[in-house]
Amino acid sequence: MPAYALEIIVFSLGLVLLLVDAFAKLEDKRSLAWLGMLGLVVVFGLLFKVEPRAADDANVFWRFYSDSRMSLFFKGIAILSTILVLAMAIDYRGLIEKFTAPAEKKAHPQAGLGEFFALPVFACAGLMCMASATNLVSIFVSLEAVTITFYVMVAYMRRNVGSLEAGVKYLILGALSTGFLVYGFAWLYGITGSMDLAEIGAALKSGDVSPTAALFAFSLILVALGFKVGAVPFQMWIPDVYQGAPTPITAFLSVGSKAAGFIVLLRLSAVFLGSEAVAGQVAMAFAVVAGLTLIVGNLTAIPQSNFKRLLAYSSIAHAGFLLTALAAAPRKLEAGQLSSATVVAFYLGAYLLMTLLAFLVVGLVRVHRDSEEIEAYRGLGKSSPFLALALLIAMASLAGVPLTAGFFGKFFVFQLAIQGGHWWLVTLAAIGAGAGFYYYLKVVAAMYWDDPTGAAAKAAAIPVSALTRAAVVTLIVLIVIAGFAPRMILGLIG
Amino acid sequence: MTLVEFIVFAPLLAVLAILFGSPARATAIVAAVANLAAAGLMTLRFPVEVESKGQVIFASSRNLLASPNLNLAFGLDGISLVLVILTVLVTLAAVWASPAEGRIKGNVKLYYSSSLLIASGALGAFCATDLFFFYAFHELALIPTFLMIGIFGSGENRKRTAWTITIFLGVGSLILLAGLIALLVETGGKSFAFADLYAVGDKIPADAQKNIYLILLIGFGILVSLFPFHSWAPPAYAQAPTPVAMLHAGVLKKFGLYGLIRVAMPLLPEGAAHWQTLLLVLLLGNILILGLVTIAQRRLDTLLGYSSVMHMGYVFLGIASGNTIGLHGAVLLMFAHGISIALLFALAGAVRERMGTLDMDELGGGLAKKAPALGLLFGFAAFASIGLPGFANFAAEVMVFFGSFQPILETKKLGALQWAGILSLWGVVISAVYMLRAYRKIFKGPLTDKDAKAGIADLTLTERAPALLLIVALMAVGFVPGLLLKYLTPTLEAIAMSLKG
Amino acid sequence: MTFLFYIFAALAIVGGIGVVLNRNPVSSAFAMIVSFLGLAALYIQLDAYLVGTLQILVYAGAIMVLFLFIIMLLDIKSEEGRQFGVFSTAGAVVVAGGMLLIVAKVLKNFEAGEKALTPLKGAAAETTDVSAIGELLFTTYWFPVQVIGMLLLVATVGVVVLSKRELR
Repeated sequence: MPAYALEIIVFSLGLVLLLVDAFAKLEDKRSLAWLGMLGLVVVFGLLFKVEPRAADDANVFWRFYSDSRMSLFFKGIAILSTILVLAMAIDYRGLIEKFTAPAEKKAHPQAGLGEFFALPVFACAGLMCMASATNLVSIFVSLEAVTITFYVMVAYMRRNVGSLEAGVKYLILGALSTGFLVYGFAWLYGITGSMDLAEIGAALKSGDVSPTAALFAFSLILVALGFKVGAVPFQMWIPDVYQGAPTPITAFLSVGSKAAGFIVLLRLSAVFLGSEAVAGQVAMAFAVVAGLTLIVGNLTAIPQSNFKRLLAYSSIAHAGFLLTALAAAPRKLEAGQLSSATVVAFYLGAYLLMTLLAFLVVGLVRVHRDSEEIEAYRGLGKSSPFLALALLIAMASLAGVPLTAGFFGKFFVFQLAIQGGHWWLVTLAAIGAGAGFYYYLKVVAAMYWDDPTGAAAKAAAIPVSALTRAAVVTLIVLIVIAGFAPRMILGLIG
Repeated sequence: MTLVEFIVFAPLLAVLAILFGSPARATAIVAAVANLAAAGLMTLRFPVEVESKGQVIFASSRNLLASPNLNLAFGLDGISLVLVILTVLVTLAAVWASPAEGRIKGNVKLYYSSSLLIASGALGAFCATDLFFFYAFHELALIPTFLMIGIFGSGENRKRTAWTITIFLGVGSLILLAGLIALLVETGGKSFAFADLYAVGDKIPADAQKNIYLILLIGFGILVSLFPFHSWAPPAYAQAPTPVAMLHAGVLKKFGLYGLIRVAMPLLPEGAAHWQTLLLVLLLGNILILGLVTIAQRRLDTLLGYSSVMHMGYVFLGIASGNTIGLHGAVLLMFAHGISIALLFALAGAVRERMGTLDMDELGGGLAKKAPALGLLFGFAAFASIGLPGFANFAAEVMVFFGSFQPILETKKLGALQWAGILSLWGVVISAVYMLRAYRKIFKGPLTDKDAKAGIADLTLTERAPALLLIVALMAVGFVPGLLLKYLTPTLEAIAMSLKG
Repeated sequence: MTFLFYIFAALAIVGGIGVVLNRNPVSSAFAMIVSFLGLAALYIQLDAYLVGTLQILVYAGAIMVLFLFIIMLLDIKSEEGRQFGVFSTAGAVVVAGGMLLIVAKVLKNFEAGEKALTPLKGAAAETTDVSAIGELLFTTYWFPVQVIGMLLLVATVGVVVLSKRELR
């Protein structure tokens, strides 16, 4: 089956969910989430059955859409994150109900829930389109589709001030960044005469294009995509938006949106780095942004006492590591070396596993302990040892403790940077990783060293549904296996 | 599944079993005994295997990644064998010396699992023939130590100490990682395997060698508490629960030294020669400055902590000398020191349990009258640590000092190395001073505070067994050092050759 | 012709500034319409007749009218004068000024406007640009159009979800 069938199936799945929600009298809307998850699992399976397009297929469609291994890998990331987000959403439904329409609890319980399960599926379709986009138009359109869906999802809990504020902030800043993106695309089209990435690359390489204009276009695009992935100095929206949004959506933003932003950045940077005239300055721009992001992301995470906000700042730090991989892209790829794109893809794959694992636990603690502060995690080692162990492994992997997937991600980034001789970046990355040890272990210390305080002291263990338990165990196993055998993920990237 | 893979992964399997509910102490002891048996088997078969298979025996390699070439590869040669014996002995002693399950207030599973995790990490690091897993396994100990010191440590400062040790070791390992990756890149970056690295090794340009060696020296130095990166170690050992202190000071610390001998020196000989003087200065800092600090300690646990840091200086001296006899002494001292410091911490733990404190003024004196076995064993341990002939420490230190003087035969004059050796000799005096003083103050003399000490029981049989195990090991190697030295010779001679050339 | 460009560009900019600075929401909406008029004129100057007409018909005609309806229904009062701190103003001036300088420098080094735009494919003499654009949208660019369709669906669902009144 061709690759685009996947998006069609996912989109139809979203439509089905909406229609079922509208017309079927469901007792319990959780079945919508289950339907969504099952559908996405099927799509994930179909991902492996995709036939590459025939070599002589000259349909103009393929100028907009690529079905390379890398695109399929990122589609896989999108699908997996959506499945886990839906699983989280099931646990989180109580809070969604509370903050969307409490007045009608008796008349229409679960009133706002159906759309909450359907929207991530649409976002998934958008992310999958973004993973394959090779034309400025399709990049922009799928980026907008994803972003607008996220605006809605972030502001979903409309009775919660934090959620609304997060949505508004995201909307305004996102719209501003879209403006920059379009302006950059306009310049790029203007100087190269084409919207197609391959043709743009050829035009830039040929040298007919003025380097000043090309660099200007690049800097505008970098501003916009930097906003999307959370690079400094465009990262100001991340802490507030991540903290205010519903936890499953924060997880989705952190993984899915970042992955989508990075694949677009990879495609566009490949175009610019291919041109001799501007490659040096483009690489330097990446290096500066990466260095700043590493410092700011890691150091601002240290004083945080709200765990969700800490994870938000740490996601900025991870964007810094990913940007380092981009900045250290080797000019000539030798045999046996991993390319910058492969390293970024691997890191994002590992990042998906550990971030979603962490957020699974955060969501549960938020629902049952009603708090996102680190204080709420005190004594979790005693009261809910399973969740504490899961969070411990997630934190260890995020910090980069060896024999976890996260370590390999950082290792490959270090390797790329050292190979390219970017010693400044290596030092900043090392400082960042060292800082990471501190703030990631803060919550581990709270969980195992301290006794629970206040209301949590008398609370029972946090109940974990079978679905969540299965998801947690799978993620833990995958993190540890990938820590030994990165081939598991690298093989998929191809 | 080769014997080596078994020995590395058996503790991990035990941890899984404990996690799923099997009785913690019993499982841990079974795993430790199984490891001891496996190590014994390997030692017995070692000469035979070396005949047939060459330097590295029991080798196994499972490919995990094609490019760069990454394998889960283990193998054993002389140095690894000695360190594996050290690890299994100390692990068994540590698990044995852990309090019984009923007496642990807190997560029993965690208590026993962490010893096993640290042991597995050390074994994996010593047996790995692949640079990546050599590094990665050592880090396995990071989180268990963090949790154990924070939860079960003694003293009010234990949380802060847990943070200090974790951050220090974390940063140290990051620096080490940068150095190892730089080394990897210089040798072509295609393979992590030791064998491949050695093949390319001497082609690294001299400038790169000097830079990389410095990074590795700092990285390994932080992990081994080389002066001035030592400040994390003494409080950490003092406040850690007994098994963690035994494993860390006894076994885990040797990782850095092993790394220098295994990785840094063979591949970066010119770098090693260039930075030798710096290393000599720093190790003298360890021996003399920290030695004097040790004398000033008023508590037994911090005294032992500083003492263990101080003794690392001798091992560094052996490494710095770079000749066969010095290197032999260094590795043997790693073994001897590991066992003796583990023994000392186990006995100190026993004292703390009985008296509630390790402050030497508060303890008073005459403990030996109430607990003669404890006193006797502590005496043995103290003398071993000082380097009394008959214990392995003596043989090792003698070889280290001979090693520092050996170049005189050619150069015919006193160089930096010889002066370092002369000054280090005073370290023996220093360690005699503080060790004997501690022994006298706590155990000897009239029994003070008769009422407080009325209920003190002597060491039970369960508590004596691990101590005896370690003492027997020390004395066996002390009387017949050849027992271990014969395994070391082939590998160490090869390294010494490459350093000379 | 450039003279006309400057007039309409100024109109667009003044309208934009009016949107931001006006305190009365109705005045802001009208200023926005003025801005759109300027933009539409610029489009027509660039021979993009369809886009220019759509700008007036859809943006100024439909969307802004909807805005005005909502302002009227919700009876939004004028905003109180907002105080902008010294630092915010200074920061805004620096950033905007910096951007202006960069654009000026880029334009100086790059001869903009010298290249001719590629004509629409299949634009024979008789076809209007509406039919040419239509043909392009549904043949070459059909994929982005479908994705936009999905985007509109999500936006609709989102609007309903975020703003529906609670049912009795």
